[in-house]
Amino acid sequence: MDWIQAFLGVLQPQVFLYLVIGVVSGGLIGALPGLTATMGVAVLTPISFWLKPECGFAMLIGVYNSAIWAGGVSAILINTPGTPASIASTFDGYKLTQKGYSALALNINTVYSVLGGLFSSLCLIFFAFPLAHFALQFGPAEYTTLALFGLTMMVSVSGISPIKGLLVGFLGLLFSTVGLDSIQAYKRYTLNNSALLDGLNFVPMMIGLFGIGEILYQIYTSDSQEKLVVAEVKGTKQFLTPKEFGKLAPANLLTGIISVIVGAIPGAGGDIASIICWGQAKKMSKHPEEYGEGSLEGLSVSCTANNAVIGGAMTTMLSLGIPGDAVTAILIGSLMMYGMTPGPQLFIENNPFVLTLIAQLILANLVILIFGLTTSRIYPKILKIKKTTLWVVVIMCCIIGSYAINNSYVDIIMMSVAGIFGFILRVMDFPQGPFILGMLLGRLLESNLRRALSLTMGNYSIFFTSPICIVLLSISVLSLVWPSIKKQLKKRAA
Amino acid sequence: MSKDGLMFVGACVIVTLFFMIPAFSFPGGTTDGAPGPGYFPILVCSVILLLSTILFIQYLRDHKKYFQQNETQKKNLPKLLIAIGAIILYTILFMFIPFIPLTLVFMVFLNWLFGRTWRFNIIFSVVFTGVIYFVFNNLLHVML
Repeated sequence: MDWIQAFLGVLQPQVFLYLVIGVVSGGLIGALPGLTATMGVAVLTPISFWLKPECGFAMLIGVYNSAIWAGGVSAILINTPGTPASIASTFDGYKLTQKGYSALALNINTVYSVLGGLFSSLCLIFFAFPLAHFALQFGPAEYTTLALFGLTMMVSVSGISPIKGLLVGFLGLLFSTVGLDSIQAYKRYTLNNSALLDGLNFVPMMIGLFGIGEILYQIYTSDSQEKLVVAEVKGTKQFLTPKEFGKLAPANLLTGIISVIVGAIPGAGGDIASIICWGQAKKMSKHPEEYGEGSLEGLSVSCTANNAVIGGAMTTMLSLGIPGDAVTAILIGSLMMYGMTPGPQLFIENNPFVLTLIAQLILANLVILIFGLTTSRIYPKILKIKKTTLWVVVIMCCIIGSYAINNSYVDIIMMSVAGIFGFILRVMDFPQGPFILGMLLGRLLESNLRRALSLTMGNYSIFFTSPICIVLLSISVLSLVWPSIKKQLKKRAA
Repeated sequence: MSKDGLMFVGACVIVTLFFMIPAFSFPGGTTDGAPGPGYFPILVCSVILLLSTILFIQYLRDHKKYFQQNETQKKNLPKLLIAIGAIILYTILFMFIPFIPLTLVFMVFLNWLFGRTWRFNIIFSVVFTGVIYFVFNNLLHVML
């Protein structure tokens, strides 16, 4: 009954309209190289605050899913992934385009992205509720180690040096200490400015890091006069036959499972999932020689992987309050702005809203299916939009969006500073995600760490007696030292 | 040694000290053993200093140049600095000058900086300023 109400709620004209707006916006953002799903959700977040929570989230969920799907469109048509998650779609997608099957490739991208999204939504339904129920047993010590686990996992899978990731993550933790402290309400680093009593506003920082930072990086590194060669959408064969569809099913089912697990790991996004799944499917395939040469199976698994990650990332985000990727980190910030705290309590205090979110995820995929199959011929024209036009649009949206959150000039200044910081991080090969995660987890980590220590009169043994803490700490340590161990093992083998 | 890297580490250390030094004068913990408000910042700062030291040593051995790596970056540097300056100036003037004229000038400037034709520049700037004003001011009721 609750589920029916959730779906009917999303089908209300106003909510559904924002879902469609989100899908269309995400379709544009994702398809245009340089505009990522993270940037899209970050830039549109301030607008969502002016809407009812269900409308605001319908738009953000629409953008998130649609941008990931649309990233495959430019991967197929111009051999450049629109979002990092679509990197593996270039391997076979562009080859199919060169062979004259671009229409078929685009439809495979749409159908399998949607199937991946729907599969992961089902996993979300099955796993989020038991996981949240399990997390209800967590006390301050478990939450402390969970926050550490989230941070270390994000650092270890970010692909860049763990030291760099950790440094950025801890800088995020440090900036989270600005404002009144959560136990004694003592003013810290507020510079006598009342606007800083609640801490640094997370959303403008995020918009700056992922929006302005990225655009500055593009201004610095790319040739603005470069002209794109966009392939036309053509080919008499537009869809797979039922027989071909059946043949691809086992590889895609396995891909769905792997991607949901990868998505649930903090920091491991669609790019990692799609590359892992493409490689795995190639190993298992009867025709591995076709991979990278326009394989239908290769393209389908990379497309399934992109969107199947979303359900996994949403599972940890909703049930534990730990973001699975940068977009879910932003969504956590948005939930907080609406006065809701992601984690097990959300399932008790705002259960109908959780159901609404899941229903939005499912319906967003269905809207993408219709939108994707009907608009594929428009995309070559969209891809011809000059990147300089996009730069101006994004810069303006970032500035006005940050101001719109609280009508505050301080937010614009914070956004600009964060933008320059984001640019420096990008140039210096530092990951930006751990900074946001550090800022998000800082309060959770500090308040629970201090509460846990107050329970034991300052004795740290509490973190080594609970089985949950031991498991989480062990995984955290292992995830940090594993890259070094792997390097040493490789050296010895060589 | 990587000069860019060492400068970055130096900046991290300065920021960390800015947080760490005042934290020592924060009140102490409560009688039930809960640490005081300075505990967490000091803990985090200590880890950052440790990580900065490791990174400092790595950058001493590293010879990578992060800024101005290639010709494109060298060519684009003035454009980047002007764009950053324009954004900062816009955010400052945002407090003093009405939205429409300020944004119009800002967008014309950015389009000119990015090498767009005057015809496109004027039309795009006028239309986009109008769209932003309408969406935020009229639809979302943000006071611009």
